[in-house]
Amino acid sequence: MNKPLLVTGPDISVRSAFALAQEIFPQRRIELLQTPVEDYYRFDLTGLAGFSAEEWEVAVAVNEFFINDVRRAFHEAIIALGYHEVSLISPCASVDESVEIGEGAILYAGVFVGAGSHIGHHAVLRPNVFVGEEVEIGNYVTLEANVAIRELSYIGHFTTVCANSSLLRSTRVGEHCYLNLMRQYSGVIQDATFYSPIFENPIRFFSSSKVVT
Amino acid sequence: MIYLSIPPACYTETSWFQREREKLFREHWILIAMTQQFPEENSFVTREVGGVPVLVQKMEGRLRAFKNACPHRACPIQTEPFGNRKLICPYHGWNFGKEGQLRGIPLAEGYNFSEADKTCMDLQTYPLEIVGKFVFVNLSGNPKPITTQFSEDILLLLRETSSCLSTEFSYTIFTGKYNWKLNFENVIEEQGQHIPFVHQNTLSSILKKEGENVSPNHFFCENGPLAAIRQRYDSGLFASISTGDDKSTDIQRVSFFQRAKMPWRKQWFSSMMNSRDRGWCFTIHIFPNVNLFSSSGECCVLQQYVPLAPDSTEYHSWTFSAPLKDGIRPMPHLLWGFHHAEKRILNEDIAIFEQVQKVLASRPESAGYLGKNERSLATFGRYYLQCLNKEENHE
Repeated sequence: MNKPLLVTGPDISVRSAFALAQEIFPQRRIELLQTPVEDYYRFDLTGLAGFSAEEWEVAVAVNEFFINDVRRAFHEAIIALGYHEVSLISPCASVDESVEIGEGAILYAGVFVGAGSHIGHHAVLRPNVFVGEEVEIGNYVTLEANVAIRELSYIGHFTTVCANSSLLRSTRVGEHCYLNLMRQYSGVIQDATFYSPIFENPIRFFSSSKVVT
Repeated sequence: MIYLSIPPACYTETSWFQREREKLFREHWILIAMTQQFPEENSFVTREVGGVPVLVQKMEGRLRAFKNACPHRACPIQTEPFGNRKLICPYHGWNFGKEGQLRGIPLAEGYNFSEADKTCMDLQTYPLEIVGKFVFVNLSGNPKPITTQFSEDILLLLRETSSCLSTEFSYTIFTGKYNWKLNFENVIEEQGQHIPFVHQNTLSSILKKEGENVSPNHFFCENGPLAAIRQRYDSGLFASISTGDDKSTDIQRVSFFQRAKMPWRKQWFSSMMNSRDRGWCFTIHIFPNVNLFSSSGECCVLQQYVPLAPDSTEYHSWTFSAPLKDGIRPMPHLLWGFHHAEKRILNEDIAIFEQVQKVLASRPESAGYLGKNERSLATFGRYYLQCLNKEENHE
């Protein structure tokens, strides 16, 4: 018998994940806990005391704050408490049986993932995301609603692609990118590149050390 | 009292624009990059300085500046704004050594150059100076020492403040339809007079907020490297200004320093960095077109206003945090947040600049009258006109 499931996270996106979990597991006991947080990163996890790691599984939902870095921090805090995380995949998503999906991923209704693709852990694919064949989606990636990723493309860890955007065939997007302009992207986008509506050119981040993933 | 002011034509006419390129940008030390932009062998940056394509490249651990034009057919040696690539022309593969000397020509027999021919086929080099992390070039054939252009105070400030900038930075470029001088004049206002009006809901409201009590910092503290500068210029909000002592020449007075109290409140990132200047802001104005602004040492923005045309400015923007504490991962999202905040404030300025530019284009009699609290603008205008050799006194 399945353990009861706790859907938890530090922001209001946890509510949508909770509704999704209820759709996926109609017979399962599911609880919702939005944990208090200060300064994005200082999580108050005392509320978890009522849900022991031995008895409960956890689904984590965290918005894409700070290019998904807060999601990483919350996940690490949860794992440190001994919880086992599960993915939430909508029954209304169409995922080829060959697709590999990492733990803690969330795929909302209408998501399509083609054969041979890989979805990294803690990636979030919002409603109606299309992922073609042989696509690599990194860890902690967020694809907002209606994003289309054509075949053979690659998206690095922590990257966000904003709603209604698309990637042409074989596009390569680096890690820690924030593609916050609704448009068609193609070619190679270097690590830590930020497209924003208020800047006419992308902002590039430079570090002597590689941005740690 | 009416002080000297720059005539409106200097903001709108191509003839003045051309003279600026020749007399200001090709004859002064101009900021071209930060040392962090050259992390590895063959890292390069390309820019235009006074209309001249310039390439700075790291070779054998040293930065060198060249004209970014192959002597063969004038193709740029490096075609990207920054990157990492050897000194090879992408057009016909001519390649050059660390001093810009012609090293090899593919298919050389076809060209049939003599050794004498090749002596004039090296890349043109330019003098380069590094002050702290700030990289300057000078395109003049006979450049004055950088110590002539910048006072000891300014050079000390640039060296010492370099240590309060993170290794990581973010960088972008955008354009505005206004003359570059409007930007520089705006930031050198001695008391930030425009802030309560132009930035009513952004910068002005931040300055009005209550701050926490901050213990004396280490950057400008009693025994700190900048203690002398602090003691000379500390006072109220933007009332502190260093335009040099009596011995300073005009050229040194047009680069200056301001420091003021600024409310500090702990941010989510404060505990992750080693800030040295909480509770204060400072700005270093680097003639002719650069401004470095630090807010509590936690957020630093470097701005450069590059003229593209009399009514077009290319704005180069770098942001830094204070150096991150050991074990803290680089945070692109933090610097992008700083960039967003800066752009939001800047957009308010640009909206004004673009309106002013339109009025200046209508050829008013004067570009304005300056008051006592606008001495810095008067000094800038006076030196500007001296440089362009068309001094006009409106007093």
